Amino acid sequence: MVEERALDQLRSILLSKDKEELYRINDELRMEVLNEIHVLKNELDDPVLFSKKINGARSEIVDILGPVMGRMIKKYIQVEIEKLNQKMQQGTKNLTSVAYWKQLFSKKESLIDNAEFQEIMLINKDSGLLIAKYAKKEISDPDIVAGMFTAIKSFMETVLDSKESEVGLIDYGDFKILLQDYGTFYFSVVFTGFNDANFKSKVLEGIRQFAEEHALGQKNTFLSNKEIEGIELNLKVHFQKLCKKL
Amino acid sequence: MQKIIAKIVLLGSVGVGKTSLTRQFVQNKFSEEYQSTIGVKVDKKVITFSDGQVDLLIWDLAGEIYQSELFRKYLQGASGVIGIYDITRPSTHTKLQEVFEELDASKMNMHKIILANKSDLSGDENYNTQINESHTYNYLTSAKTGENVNEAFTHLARTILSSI
Repeated sequence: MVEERALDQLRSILLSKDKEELYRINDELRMEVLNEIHVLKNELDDPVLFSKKINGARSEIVDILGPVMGRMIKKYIQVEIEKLNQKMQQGTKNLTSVAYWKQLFSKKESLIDNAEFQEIMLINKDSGLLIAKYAKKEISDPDIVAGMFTAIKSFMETVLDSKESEVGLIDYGDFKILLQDYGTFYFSVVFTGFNDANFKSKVLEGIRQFAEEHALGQKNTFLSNKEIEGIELNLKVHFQKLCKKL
Repeated sequence: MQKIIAKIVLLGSVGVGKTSLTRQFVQNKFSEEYQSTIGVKVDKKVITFSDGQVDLLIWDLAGEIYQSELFRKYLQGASGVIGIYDITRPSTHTKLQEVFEELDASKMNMHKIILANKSDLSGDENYNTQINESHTYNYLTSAKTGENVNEAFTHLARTILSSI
């Protein structure tokens, strides 16, 4: 026992310098790792630094993603060519079909889709809260749609620096969204088809009549639940009638 | 039963976890691309109480928007604001305080709460998570674990409902 203790003491005396060195190296390494983590975290938090880092590693990213993207693009092109082939075959069949030509010339209406009313919403201009709506088909989550319309409208007005955009038109895929301000409110009308001036003027006239009947230009932002119920009911009746005339 | 619709706005610097918190709380309808394009994304959550219902329309503002003119526009008509900061980045608390002071000065009538987010990192020694005692907050939250997320939104909805 005494021998072992003596050996331990001897060992600790002889290795004390090594131990110190080991602790020093350990501390240095720890600091370096923490520093690296800190730098990496800052780069990830800062979009500018992060994009610089990504730009620097562009070739590596391309090497990794290149084959995957290549396969996806190839597949996409194959599908699109197939679709195009089918369309061309159908088109050729139509051109040689007497029935197709007869049907085409017997059509009274234009080949362009007529404007077709889909929905109208009355929205608070500041908050983006939906006051009333009427839609031919049920809209999913109209409250969120009204909020997003308002955000987009505010964004456009700010970016284009237009103080009062009385009427605006947004094209979104097959849909067109007509925006018309009225005091602290605005109307959004969604329609499909051709951007027809006659259709637009009838809709705007319908909006003007409705807004005047309900004195929307003079109303403040806050409407009671009773007022909102009345407006919603009248909006439906008013635009159901208007739709028949369009 | 009383039913109201209220707009609330989420504020906070880039990367504090606003969008992750919303994701914990609502089902997203619109793509988050909108946020990078126009600086905001709108979501909805219905909260039902025994005496009423609040339809919360949550405007999740992009962190970079503070400096923009749009910031004030997007705040218009809001009944409440949730300010969020990251407990691992004290500078995000400082920035939030500045914005809240500006809001107080502008006399916009809104209910405000502050969330100290990323509580899940509080035990991680790689982050500086010593919650500064001078930092004021209403809830310590984690978008990752969901800790206090429902509680924070419900608290704000209740406050708005009670004030009407």
